[in-house]
Amino acid sequence: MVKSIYITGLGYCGKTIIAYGLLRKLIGEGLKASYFKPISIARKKLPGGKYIDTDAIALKEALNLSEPIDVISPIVLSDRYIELRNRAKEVRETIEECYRNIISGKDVVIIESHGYPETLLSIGCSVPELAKSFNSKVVFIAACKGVAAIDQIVDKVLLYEDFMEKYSYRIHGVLLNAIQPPFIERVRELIVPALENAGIKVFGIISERRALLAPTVRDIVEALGAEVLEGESFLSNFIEDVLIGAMSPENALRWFRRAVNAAIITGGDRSDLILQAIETKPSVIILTGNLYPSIRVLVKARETGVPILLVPYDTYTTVEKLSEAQSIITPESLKIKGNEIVDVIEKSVNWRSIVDE
Amino acid sequence: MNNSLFNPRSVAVIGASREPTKVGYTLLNNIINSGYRGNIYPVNPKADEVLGLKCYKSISEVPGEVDLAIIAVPAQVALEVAEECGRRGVKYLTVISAGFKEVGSEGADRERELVNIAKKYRMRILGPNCLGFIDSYTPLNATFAAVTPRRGRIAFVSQSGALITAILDWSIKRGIGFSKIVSLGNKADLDEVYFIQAIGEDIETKVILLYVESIERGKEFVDVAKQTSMKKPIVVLKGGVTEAGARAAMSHTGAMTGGFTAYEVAFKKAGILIANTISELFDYAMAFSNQSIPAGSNIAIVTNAGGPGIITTDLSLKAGLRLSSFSPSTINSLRSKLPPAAAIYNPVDVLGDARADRYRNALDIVLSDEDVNGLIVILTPQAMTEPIDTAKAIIEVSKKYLGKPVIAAFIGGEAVREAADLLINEGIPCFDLPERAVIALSGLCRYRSYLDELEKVIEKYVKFYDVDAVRAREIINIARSDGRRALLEIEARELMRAYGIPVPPAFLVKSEDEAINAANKMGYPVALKISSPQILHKTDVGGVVLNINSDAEVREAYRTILSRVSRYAPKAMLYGVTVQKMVPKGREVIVGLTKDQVFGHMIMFGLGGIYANVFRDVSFRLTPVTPSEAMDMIKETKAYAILKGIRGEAPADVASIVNVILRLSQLVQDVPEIVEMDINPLFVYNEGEGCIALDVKVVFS
Repeated sequence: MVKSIYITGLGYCGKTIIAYGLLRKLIGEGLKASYFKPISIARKKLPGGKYIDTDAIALKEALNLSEPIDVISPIVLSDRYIELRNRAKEVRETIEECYRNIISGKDVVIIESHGYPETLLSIGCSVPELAKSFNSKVVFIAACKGVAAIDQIVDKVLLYEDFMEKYSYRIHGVLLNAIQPPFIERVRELIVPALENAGIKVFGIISERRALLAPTVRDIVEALGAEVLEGESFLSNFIEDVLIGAMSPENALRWFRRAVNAAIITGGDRSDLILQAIETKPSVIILTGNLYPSIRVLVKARETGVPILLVPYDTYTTVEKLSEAQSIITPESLKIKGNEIVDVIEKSVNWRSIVDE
Repeated sequence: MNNSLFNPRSVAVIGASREPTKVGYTLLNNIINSGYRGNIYPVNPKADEVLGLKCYKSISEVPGEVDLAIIAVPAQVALEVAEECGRRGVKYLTVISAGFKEVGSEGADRERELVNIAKKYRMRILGPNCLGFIDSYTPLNATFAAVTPRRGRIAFVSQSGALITAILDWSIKRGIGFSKIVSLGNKADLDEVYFIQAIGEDIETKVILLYVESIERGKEFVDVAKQTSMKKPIVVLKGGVTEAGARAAMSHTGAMTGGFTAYEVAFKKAGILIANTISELFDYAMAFSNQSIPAGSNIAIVTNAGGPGIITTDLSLKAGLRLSSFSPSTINSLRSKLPPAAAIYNPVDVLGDARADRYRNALDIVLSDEDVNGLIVILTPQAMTEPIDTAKAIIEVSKKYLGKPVIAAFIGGEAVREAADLLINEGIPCFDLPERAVIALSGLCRYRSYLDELEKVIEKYVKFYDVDAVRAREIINIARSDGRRALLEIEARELMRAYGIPVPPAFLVKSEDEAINAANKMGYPVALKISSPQILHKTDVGGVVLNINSDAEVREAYRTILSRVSRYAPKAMLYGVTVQKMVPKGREVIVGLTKDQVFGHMIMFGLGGIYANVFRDVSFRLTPVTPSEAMDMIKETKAYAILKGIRGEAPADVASIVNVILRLSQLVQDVPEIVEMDINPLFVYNEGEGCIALDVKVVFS
């Protein structure tokens, strides 16, 4: 019988990356593994009006999955989804049919939930309900970002355990993700015992790794609708850091020099600053306010191979759009960071226990 | 000069034109009129004859060797022409045509292509987008400038062609002559480094003037200019000093840099005089082209009016000159030869009724004084004044005292014009205002002090053998493989240790228990500091707690730091907390480093502590530095007074700072990927007790 693992968690906690890492690992172990994302909220609307989940597409492409995307990701919602109540039965049947399709001939399937376990509780498609019907093991991912978040983890997990219990189901185990080194001791000595005392297994403690998910300049060009003024051939550069160039050039240089694979955002009229920025070889320089830069800037960018983008937005809007774009996963970035992600799974996650226990 | 760019056997003008309004016409006309003795080949597919010379359809049709081809065709066809020149065996190209890098990316591509073609055929290129060049001794005027300059001892190399045309025009009026004039244009190949070296060896040139907006080969520039400065003075006018490229190189410690620029530091290292204005550039040039270099900076002033004498004295002192103190015999002679009302001490006032003879006597006496290294003679036209005869007297007396420069300031207009022209023609710089005379003389004196500096620098670089460059590189590589560009504090300390710079003991810890262990190992008191490459100013985010004396306080401090940092720097990647032993307070100084894109690493020394930013008391040098340069850096600052000890304080261990500066200088020679570094503060203890680097930041590329 297929082994079924249902990954859930709260918001951006690393579900997709961990799903991808587990799948890569399991496939690497020679298992026939598959991926299923029954419900997503759309990240994008196609010109034809169809909603798609780019994360699911990225995963399918990065893993070369043979199932059609409509089967891997059957229900893609827009932000307005409450009307779905009228089609509750149909939705449920679609999901179940696709699931049967996905698992046929497979040893293991990794299911990824939408943002929160309670999503679509209103039509009977929340995580405990679906997990129960698939007989999946629920793995809860908790991101440990910051001091406050760490101490709240136990309460959150217990709350969701109560929620599961309502459907006579339970959380199989927890993965504690994105922990900064100085907090690891606290997590190990206080959080893990508290969870274990409540009867919840901890399958892994993963320390924070930046940039497992860096978008490329090309992704940014698309997300911002930017004009590429220079550096067409460097659009696959990664963006791991975002800096705003607002100070005087001599002060800005200190920050630019420290940044790794940075996107530097500034006005096109700040030639002095842009020339400084180019020297530190960032991944991209984004010029705001449709202010076209001077010829010297473009010549210098061409000589050094730094892409220059022009956007119509002000700096604040640009940064907002950029941080949205930063959470988008693309097949390109998954493939490039693939080995690093598998490395995290191997070193920090008790993946055998997740599958076998 | 045996150089085929300046002295070609034959010249082809591609794009020679019969239209007097065209550049191709003026160029050819200038070459012919300059008296050039080699073969001249006009090339133009549409003409049979231009300016009386047989014209060729293309460069390939030209009979005989072509050393130099001047290209004055539109940029679109320039590449094709260059290719043809290459096949024809031309050695030098002067590309007058515009439409290259200066017009944008497309032009930049075209320029690169031009360089590739030249490389393929081993041709050298002057330009593109330039005015051309002049050698008045060959003679050859290969420019399209409207006038041909007088022959002289000044070489002028300029990145601006327009500046050349303006100055040529002015020089004719002022009677100033040039040996060589070069318009660099876009500097696709031949640049200021090449020309400084070439003209440095030119016996016709006494002084090199340089106007540049940018320098690309900074290290070669400093090396070549340093060598050349020892032979003849180089005066530079740098355009765009306020622009980012120049200023921002001094990024490091941000506001600390004040008015310094990387260029100033580099010019100083190379012994180059900086002119702040075009007029200064040529005032220096007039002095250097005819006057000798004085033995020192002690000058005398001889004037026929009190006011201008006083003003000149003020200006001279401000410019760093000193007024000589005359010997008793000088004073006695002056007293016997001048009227009783005359001022016989420096400045010497020969009074308003002085005629040429009185000037002659005074000048002769003053110049014969051993303490006088140079002289400014001021003349204001008054009723009895004899400007022309006085000029003659100055010329005559100055010839007796070679090695002592004499500069004249004949204040006025029409009344002194003829006398001024006479002086200039005889090689005595004569200005209409005393400030310009002071600048000219101070330039000569400054060059003397640069020569002394340069000789000291040749003195020797120290090399330390107790350093571990392999370990240093390893530390950087580990950080780089972790995806960082900045070292953690603990790694920076390790780096300092590898280079023999003392640091207090410290540990990077990741838990409260580890922190307590570390503190007990070192002994109290300790300090705790957050460790994150993203946090530039640890104190600003509450990431530092000092003077911790017990285990309980360590635990408390650990928690406080982490909560504060999570709040004030939520996105920073935290690596842990550094526990460091507290050390006794010393006198606080800063030693820093920054890598300038053009000139390489510059080292900084300055006053440390919280008031450092207010006083901006810093000095800079390009690396590598010698022991005497390191010592000069320290002495240049006001901090030196504090280090020497104020009001009975014991002197600080300055030698240990010199040691740190020299070791850092070697560190960046060994590990050039370090782009920025700060030791702030460096605690300096009393003489013999050394110093210790308390906080070290290192950024690499």
